[in-house]
Amino acid sequence: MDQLKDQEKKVLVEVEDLYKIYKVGDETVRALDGVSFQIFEGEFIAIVGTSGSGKSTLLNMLAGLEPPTKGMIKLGSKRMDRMKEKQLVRMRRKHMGFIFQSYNLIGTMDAKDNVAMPLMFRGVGAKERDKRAKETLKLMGLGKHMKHLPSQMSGGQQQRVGIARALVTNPKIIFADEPTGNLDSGTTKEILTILRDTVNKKNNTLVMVTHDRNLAQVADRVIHIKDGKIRKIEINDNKKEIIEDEDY
Amino acid sequence: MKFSDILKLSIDNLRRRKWRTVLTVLGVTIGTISVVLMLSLGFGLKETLNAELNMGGTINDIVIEYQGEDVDMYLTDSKIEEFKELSQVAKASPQLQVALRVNTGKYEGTMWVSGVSQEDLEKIPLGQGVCPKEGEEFQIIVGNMLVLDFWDAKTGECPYWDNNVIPEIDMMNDRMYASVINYDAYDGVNIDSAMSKRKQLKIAGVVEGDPETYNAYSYSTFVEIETLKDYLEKEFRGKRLPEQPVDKNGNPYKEWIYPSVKLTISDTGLVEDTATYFRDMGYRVTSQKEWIEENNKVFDIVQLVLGGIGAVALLVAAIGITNTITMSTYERRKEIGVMKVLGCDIENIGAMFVSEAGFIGFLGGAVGVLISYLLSKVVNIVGASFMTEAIGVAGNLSSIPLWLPFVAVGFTILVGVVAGYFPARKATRISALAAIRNE
Repeated sequence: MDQLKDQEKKVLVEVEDLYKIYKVGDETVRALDGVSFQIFEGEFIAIVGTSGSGKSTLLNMLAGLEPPTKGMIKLGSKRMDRMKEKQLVRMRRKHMGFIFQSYNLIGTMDAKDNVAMPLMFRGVGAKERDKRAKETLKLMGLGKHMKHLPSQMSGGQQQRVGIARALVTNPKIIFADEPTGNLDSGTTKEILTILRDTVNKKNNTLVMVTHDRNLAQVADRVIHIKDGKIRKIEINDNKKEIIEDEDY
Repeated sequence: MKFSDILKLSIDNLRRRKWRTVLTVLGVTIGTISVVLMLSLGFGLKETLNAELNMGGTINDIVIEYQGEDVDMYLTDSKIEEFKELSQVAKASPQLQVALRVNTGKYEGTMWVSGVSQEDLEKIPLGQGVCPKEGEEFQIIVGNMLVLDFWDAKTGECPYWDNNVIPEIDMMNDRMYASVINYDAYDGVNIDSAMSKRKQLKIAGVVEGDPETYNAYSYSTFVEIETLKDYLEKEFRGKRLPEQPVDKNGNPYKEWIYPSVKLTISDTGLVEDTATYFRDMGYRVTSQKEWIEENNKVFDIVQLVLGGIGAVALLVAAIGITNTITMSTYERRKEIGVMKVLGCDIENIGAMFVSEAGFIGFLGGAVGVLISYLLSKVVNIVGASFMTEAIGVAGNLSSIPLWLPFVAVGFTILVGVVAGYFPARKATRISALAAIRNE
């Protein structure tokens, strides 16, 4: 994907001075220690860090699953850090999609019903959501697996169902938490290609959390995080230019 | 989220754990059966006894009696005319009774002959004979069970009550003789107190039913009241009439004085007020309606106690529902979390579990009601002999009113919803984060 010129970039998410501080006994843990960055529309962002770096905490906060201790998160023009749980649920329903490491499909539902679920939460009628779920599954190359239960599919197939479920509502932003963490290398490549293609074709915004620097190279920009702080943001165009600066 | 989708998800979840659902539903079913059956016993007893008490449509009737010394209170024909002028009194019929000692073959018996209006006489359902027409000679209609009270004139032994043998008396065709006897002197076998000559007695008809089938007319004897008055006047010409009071000098009054008058009230709602009105005047008043209502109050309490006993089983079932839903929320923590992450409204998650619980209540209630109907039938078949022997009335021991199944199912749904409410509320508090943490 060509690098977007600055004036064309539209900010979708704005994070400023974000802190998450836990108290464990007498000890204070700074899971996020003053983080600021922006996510642009149509961008594929990877957040990379080791376990305990704060990358998952950051994702949870972007998705409104965990409240920050301090700081601002804006999605579009809306201040997510000021929202109550009910409003956050609505934000997720309307604007966000999720891809999980362990797929988190509902075991008793077939692929089609799993994909249709977010539409059901939106109050879409059964006919319409079945149609859209089938279309999305076909896009994922799962046309023959619509009636299969998760237990009847391979890991890669399950994750493709998971991606279909995230895409079916055509959300503004998709969060993927270690989407290939449970997959072998061949399948990992396949899934990453699908994610990359999706962003390219449909112009969705994707935020992927991973511990693997190599996998992160598929993204447009890579945010490196360590001890709750952003260490560098890598712009990943053809030249693979690296910016070693927190305040890029 | 659409309600139909919430309901569908709930039912899917119940299906997923069939065995547990069946057991929980079974609890509610047993609870429903116990409540419905207990209540049905109350309704059955009440219904049967009310029907018994109200046989012949006497709910609008009150009977007023006077036994005092006040001449102005005597129930005479002119007094009855006064009563008739009261707007709520539709009908006022004097009642007169006379006791007859009756002999037939080797048997002897006593009949209390009631003088009633021609209209009332014609209402009596006859098994044999025909109702006498107005102005015909003195002939009576006898109750179908009266024959049981006849005794052997020589030995004083009563075949039925002593030996359980129905005396062989053909009321219609056997020759019968009767004389008027004095109420007060009546002591069962003493015929010395006969007050009139013994004469042949004509039986016009017998109340329908065999000698062991009870109805309101079974033990009574009837004649048209004017015919009875004529009969008595003829039998006691120049003498003092039986049961008629006398003045201070021992002379009878010119007018007939009736021991009681039956008033038919035009509006059932006015029965109590009218009864009170006459009671205040100094009459003794008996009203079938008041009696039925007194009885019903007792039955209401009995029913409340029975229903309460039944409700204990339903309470236990409710605890079962709470338990089942709680288990379900624990098992589905992850699923709930995923749904929350994917944007399922918190209220919808609660509604899913509440409707699961409500559906258990509905199933249990519906099945319970169906089984209750069957058991109610069984109770009535088994209890039929109990009703006739212990209570002395034929009828249903158990009765399920038309509204009860609907109220019962509605109630079990409510019980389910209440029982499911607290675990459901807990489920809504399950953190979305818990779901996405990798196991």
